[in-house]
Amino acid sequence: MKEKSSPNPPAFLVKFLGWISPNHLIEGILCDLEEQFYDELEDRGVFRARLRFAWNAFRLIHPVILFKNHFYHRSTFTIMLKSHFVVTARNMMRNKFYSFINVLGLSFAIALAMLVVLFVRSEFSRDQFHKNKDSIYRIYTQRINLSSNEVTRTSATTSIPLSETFGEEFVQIVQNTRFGSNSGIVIKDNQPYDEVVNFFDPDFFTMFSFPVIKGNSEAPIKELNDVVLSEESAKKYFGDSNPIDQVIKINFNSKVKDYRVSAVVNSKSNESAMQFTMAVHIEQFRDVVGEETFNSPFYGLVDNLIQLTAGTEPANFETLLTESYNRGQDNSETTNKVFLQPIASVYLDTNVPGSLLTTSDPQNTYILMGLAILVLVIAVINFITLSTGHAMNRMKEIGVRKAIGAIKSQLRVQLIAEAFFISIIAGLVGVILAIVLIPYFNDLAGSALNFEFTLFEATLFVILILMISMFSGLMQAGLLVRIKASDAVRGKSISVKSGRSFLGKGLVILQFTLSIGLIIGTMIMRNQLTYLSELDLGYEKERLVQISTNNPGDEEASRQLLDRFRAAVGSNPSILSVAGTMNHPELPWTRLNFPQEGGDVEKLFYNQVDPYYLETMGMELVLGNDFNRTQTIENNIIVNEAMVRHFGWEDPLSAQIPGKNFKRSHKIVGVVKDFHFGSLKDKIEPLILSTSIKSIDDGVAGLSTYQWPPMFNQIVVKIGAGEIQPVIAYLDETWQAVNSGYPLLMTFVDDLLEAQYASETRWRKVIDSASGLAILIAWLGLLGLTRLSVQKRIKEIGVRKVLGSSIKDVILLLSRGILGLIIISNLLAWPIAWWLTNRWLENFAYKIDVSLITFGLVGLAVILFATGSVMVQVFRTAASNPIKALRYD
Amino acid sequence: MKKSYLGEFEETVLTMVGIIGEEAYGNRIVGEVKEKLERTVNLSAVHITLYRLEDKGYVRSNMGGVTSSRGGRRKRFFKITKSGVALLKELQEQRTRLWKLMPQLNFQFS
Repeated sequence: MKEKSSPNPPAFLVKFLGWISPNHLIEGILCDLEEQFYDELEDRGVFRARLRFAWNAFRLIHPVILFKNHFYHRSTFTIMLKSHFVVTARNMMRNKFYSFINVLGLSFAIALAMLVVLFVRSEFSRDQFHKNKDSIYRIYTQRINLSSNEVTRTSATTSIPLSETFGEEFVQIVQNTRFGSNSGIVIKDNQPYDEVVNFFDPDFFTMFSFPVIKGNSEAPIKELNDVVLSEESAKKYFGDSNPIDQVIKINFNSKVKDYRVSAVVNSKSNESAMQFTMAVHIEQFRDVVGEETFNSPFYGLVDNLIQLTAGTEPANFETLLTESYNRGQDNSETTNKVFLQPIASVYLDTNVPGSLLTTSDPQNTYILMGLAILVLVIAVINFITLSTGHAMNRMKEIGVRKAIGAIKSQLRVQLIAEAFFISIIAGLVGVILAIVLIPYFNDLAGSALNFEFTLFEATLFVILILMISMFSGLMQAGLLVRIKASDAVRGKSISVKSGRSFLGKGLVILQFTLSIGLIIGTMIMRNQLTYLSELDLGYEKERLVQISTNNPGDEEASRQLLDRFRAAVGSNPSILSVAGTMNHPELPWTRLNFPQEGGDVEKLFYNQVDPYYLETMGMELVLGNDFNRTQTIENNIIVNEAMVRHFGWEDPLSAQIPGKNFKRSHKIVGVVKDFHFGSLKDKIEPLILSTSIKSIDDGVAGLSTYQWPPMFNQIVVKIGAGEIQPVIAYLDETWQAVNSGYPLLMTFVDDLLEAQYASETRWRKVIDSASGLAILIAWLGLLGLTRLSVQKRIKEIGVRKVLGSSIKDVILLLSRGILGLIIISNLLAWPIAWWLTNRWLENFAYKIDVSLITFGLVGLAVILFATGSVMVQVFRTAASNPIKALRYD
Repeated sequence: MKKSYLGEFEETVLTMVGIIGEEAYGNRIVGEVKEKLERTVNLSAVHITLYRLEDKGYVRSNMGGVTSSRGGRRKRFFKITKSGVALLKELQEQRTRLWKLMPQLNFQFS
């Protein structure tokens, strides 16, 4: 045999075999395999020998080999695992109270954590389902003043021709679509329905991946008269029958057309920022805004969305778009910047105002995440303090284990195993709770989560369980395994007590700090939101209704409708006043841009009203007069106090709104007391009220609005005292008489405002519930802890009583400790809560003063409540006969 | 004692260990099976079976001395135990007993 030159079996396979087989077997196995290898080598050559060797190696991946390998090393571990399980189960049964607190607290915390993670995932994964999501961008623009270099306007809505112009100019744009939105009246079977209709380019459904359920899946809005329905609206209009190729009529601004249903799509309303129930071709938007506006580059009316070719760098492309955009604008004082925002980040971005796409404030989500973590921390602290406190009672068991040779790592394993078993039980209960609670959670948070046990949920579950059990197990282990066996068996635990109580006290303080902070935070949020809901709006929202004029077409038509209606209801004594208005609380108000000398732009809100508006709304004039009711004086305007402050006018009635474009003069006839017309979060902005746009339109260049052209989109009606139902019936009847064929779309303004705060109210409820849960769990923990400490000192209490202590002394003695901890916690919690609540309140222009009284009251309440529940427990022990405690010693 | 069952392959390997006597090892068993039964068996399968038989107590193993061959690895030698022999014997008797119960097919066909 020529050993040196002869080939050997593949080294990696030898290594692999060494790795899979147990140490004591490997030599015999390799010896045999190599012998066969060399025999084969001589008979049939290297290749066959190697092949056979590899096959043999593969065949050895067999349970007999693999299990032999590790069982010897792990056997004590696995045997002990079973014992740990039994011991845990016995301990849990023996101490039902603590087990109950532990498991219940943890289960709720785990359930909340899982729900919140699901919620956060759904919030952060909006518009992730589009195949092209990485190459689709929403265009938004900023206007920058060249002299001051300040951003004067940021707008998510851009002009209607924008994306088309860009699409024709740049080859980097593969597809583009507009996202427009307007109300329209759908007429089916002669029955009118008020509906929000969206306007898309045909590219919309090829850019985005909304699944087409029925109908034309290639090009759902190809023809001008195609209409695409969401599943919900298909159901609403056609029930179970097939909607495809059915015809419905839609009325935009009194232009009624037939539309053919071309497709039904899943609009994924909980997965996308682009929400729609009914969509038609963008060309139909001409009917809404008029030919001129449709082709004008100056009005921001739609969201423009583009898809770029692969490899186009958005940052570089933004520069190209900006250049092209500014070419069309002849302005030496301002410049514009075009930005591209990835579609997936639109939903959580509330910094680009005015978008027609749905956005959500991520702040609420972060608050909820923080709360879930707090609840989890509080429950884990309960778990640790109760288990260690309770393990002190098991000192003997630990002592015996150590005495018969348990090493530290084994005790550690035992404690982690125990924590693990309890966490698993809590986790399973938590999952059940999560499943049970998910509808309530959806209700509160306005989400559409469902709990399916997929890989994601399973991983989440495992991670939570592992985190909880490792953390609490190791904490306990750190506290308990240092005990000397002899001390433990004799029941002496002094050496460890100081360490334990230091850490234990730290944990209790942490828990109280969190609870106090939470209570203060919840109180302040609650106060602030109540304050907002009770804020003086500057007008009387009670018994005020608004009626939609259903897009009468133009200003003149709306004025005639208003006059007819006013004349018809004029005789009814229950109707105090009727007025027309262009803007209403449901949508942001029209904002006009007035260019100034020097390049600045003054952005002032505008509302077109009729002379009865102030009276109907119950607004007060602080200066001057109301509009002239007998004749329309075109140049008359009324401004609000914010306007006077804004320009610093000393004599508003002789002032002029500044602007370089103004050719005519206007007359400020009155100043109205400030009233809220925007979000209550924001300051009241300068506003112009006028009966005719001609008063100031010569000074305007550009605007942002949901309502254009100016006309009376709503009629407001003030109803007098008395039964409301007959008045509604009367209004309906009158409406049918003056505007037949259109439904009476009537809303009470106070209901409307309430609906606007629905999301705030909902969030308040979510946050209230979560902090309530946290506080409940913390309180349960406190109960468990005091019961433990009382039990530990039961003999001491007995002795004290025998020697003449009164019940009062004993209670004071035992409550003193907890009182100290709570006071420290208060001192820690106050500054943190102060800082956090003030940061939150910065979001509001009108806010409550955070008073220290709230802090003091919460602190006092916690002290009373906690010491109260401690005292009740202590009293039971203190009042009992000392003989009971001492009898067995 | 719990009644043990052996698979066909296990029985073959056990019998071979018995036949070889003192110094049975994996490769030799493969060789013997090939020679006596004209059947090719996989070496790893034989190993796995040997360990399984060892767990059941029908064979015993010990390491041999260093051989002259490559790497200086030692062989693991297997030897049949008393219970192994007893089991083989029992299986043999069982089969004989059953065979006797078989209707004498020969008569009918001849």
